[in-house]
Amino acid sequence: MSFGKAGMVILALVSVGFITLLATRGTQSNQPNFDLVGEPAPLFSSQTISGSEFNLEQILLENRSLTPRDQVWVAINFFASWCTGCIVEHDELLTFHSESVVAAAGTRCKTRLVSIAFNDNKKDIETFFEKYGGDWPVLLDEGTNRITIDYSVMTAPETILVAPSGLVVKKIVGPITYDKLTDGIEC
Amino acid sequence: MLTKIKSRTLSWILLSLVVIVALVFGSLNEKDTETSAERAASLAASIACPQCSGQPVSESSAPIAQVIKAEIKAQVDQGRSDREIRSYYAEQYGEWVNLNPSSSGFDAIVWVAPFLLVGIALGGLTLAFARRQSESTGIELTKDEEEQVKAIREQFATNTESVIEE
Repeated sequence: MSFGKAGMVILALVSVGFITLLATRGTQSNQPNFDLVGEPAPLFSSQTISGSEFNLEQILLENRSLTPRDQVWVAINFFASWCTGCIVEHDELLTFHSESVVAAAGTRCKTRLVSIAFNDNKKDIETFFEKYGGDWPVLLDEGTNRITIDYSVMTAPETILVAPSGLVVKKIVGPITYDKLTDGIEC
Repeated sequence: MLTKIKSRTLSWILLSLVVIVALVFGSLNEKDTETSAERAASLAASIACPQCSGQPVSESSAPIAQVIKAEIKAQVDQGRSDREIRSYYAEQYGEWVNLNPSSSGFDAIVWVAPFLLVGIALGGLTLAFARRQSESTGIELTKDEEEQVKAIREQFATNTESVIEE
């Protein structure tokens, strides 16, 4: 084989290698990450805007000593006062917070709702809740950035449902509806 | 003739020295002298905003980019290494958020390929020159031709020496 031919073969092999690399490489995507669904929820404890503490680990630990009917499902809502999708879903969250969820078997299951402020400030959050209602805990402190990233959140609103066992059962990107959030809750 | 060869060798040695010194200085770890803010800025420039398309968080105004920037700063202040911080974001959003390709695994080809191609090119050139040289010296001359070549070479050498002396 002449050097020219050998060069062409090497060039062809390198080209094929690069094409294979590009074809088999994971898509560079800015799509939401749902890998957390089915995995244990990242635990956190943080300050609410009213100064109390919300501790997910504590709720899940308490669930262990309770009967299924008394165990608590937790909805974690990533929200911001500047987010229009959050206004859209707010009435659905009010319903979820004020009513216990009736499971398919007819039993009433216990739930808790917590919102985590996403790139926001206390004053705007208080104004938002004064305007649209709701008195569930809203977390905002130096640790909420970490919680947001631990849950692979990309924008607001995003809502995570955590089963009493501590596993993430669903992640809803965009405004929720009551039915979408509560579908599958059992106790 | 000898002077010419010596000066050429010296040039190569000097060039090699410059390259080696540049590589040594270039590979020295300057991170030891970086402040926390500089480290955080450098990391923010090499981690993509998950909501955007390939834009680093340092250049994005998206809310999640602001959250990540603040968290990178907090992680740097907590003493976490660059590698730990990068792998945390890759774990949460996917390997694609690392704008600098990994130097291990399949992605390492990006770093290795240029050196490989330069190696192949140099090897090819060396072989091509060697082949041309062997082809040109492979011609068998008759005795008369050899004497003619010898005479021409001697005449050329004499002429060159006289030019140098002048």
